[in-house]
Amino acid sequence: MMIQMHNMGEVETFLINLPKKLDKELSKTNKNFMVQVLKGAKKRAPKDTGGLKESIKLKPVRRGKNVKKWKIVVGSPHALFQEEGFTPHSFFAGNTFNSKKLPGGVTYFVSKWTPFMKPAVEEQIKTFSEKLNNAVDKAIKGRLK
Amino acid sequence: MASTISKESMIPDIWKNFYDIAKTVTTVSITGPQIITIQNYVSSFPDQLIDSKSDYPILVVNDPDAPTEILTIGKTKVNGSIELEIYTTSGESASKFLSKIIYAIETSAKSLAEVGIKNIEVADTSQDSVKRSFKLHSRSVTFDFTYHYARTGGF
Repeated sequence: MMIQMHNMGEVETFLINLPKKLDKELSKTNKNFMVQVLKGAKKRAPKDTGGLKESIKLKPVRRGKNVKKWKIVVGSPHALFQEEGFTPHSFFAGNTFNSKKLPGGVTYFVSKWTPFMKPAVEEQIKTFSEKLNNAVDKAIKGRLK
Repeated sequence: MASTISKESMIPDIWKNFYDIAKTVTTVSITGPQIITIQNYVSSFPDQLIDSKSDYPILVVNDPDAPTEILTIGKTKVNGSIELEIYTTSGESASKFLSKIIYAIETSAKSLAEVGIKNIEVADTSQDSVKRSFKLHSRSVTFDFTYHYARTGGF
């Protein structure tokens, strides 16, 4: 018995071009996700001088035209302690202490920290899988036209 | 009425078209009943207003992204996107404002097409809420669009 398939040209074209379209849509979804996480982290970052917030940046993992991976970099030395916590402690703020809220020349006791990155990721991750599915649907439907 | 777009100032011109439409979204009514009126329309989130409850709602029209591709020998196609965000102190009003923004852009599709901004689709929506001295709710919508302009010769 012999089976013959006809008019496979369209299917072949669809299969050849699908990865490119999928790649484009998924990359776009990834970047949008990271941008929303960045914005959420900036909104949640505790604010005094604004240095922590300004240090939160989105960067490509690899430079070039078709960037696939992104990372959020937080440059402030205080970021890790705000995110993960610290042992409550006191410190003396010298007269040149750089703060808009706390005057210098005073001893302070700090015990409270404000995570900003993990809550931002948790908020956006809720809808991420749905957005990935939508991106795949869009890529497939785009090729079927 | 949409404003014309020139090649030289393409990005601010496209931004202005979306901004002018966004400015037609002014109020929503929420349970209470209460009318909520947008206090500020801006091009990027204003840090100096972030701690004052009375300055919300804030509607942000971000700059568009405008990557291009070759359409023909004589034309370039812009596969653009633009994000609009609403920040309010009420979750109910945030959702209602988002719907109004989407409606305003969708119903202005014809006037935008007349100046060259076409194929406008909602590409993405997102939401967030942040506890500061008050609770801040945000919703955002990203519109994809296309725009064509004449290419400059040379390879």
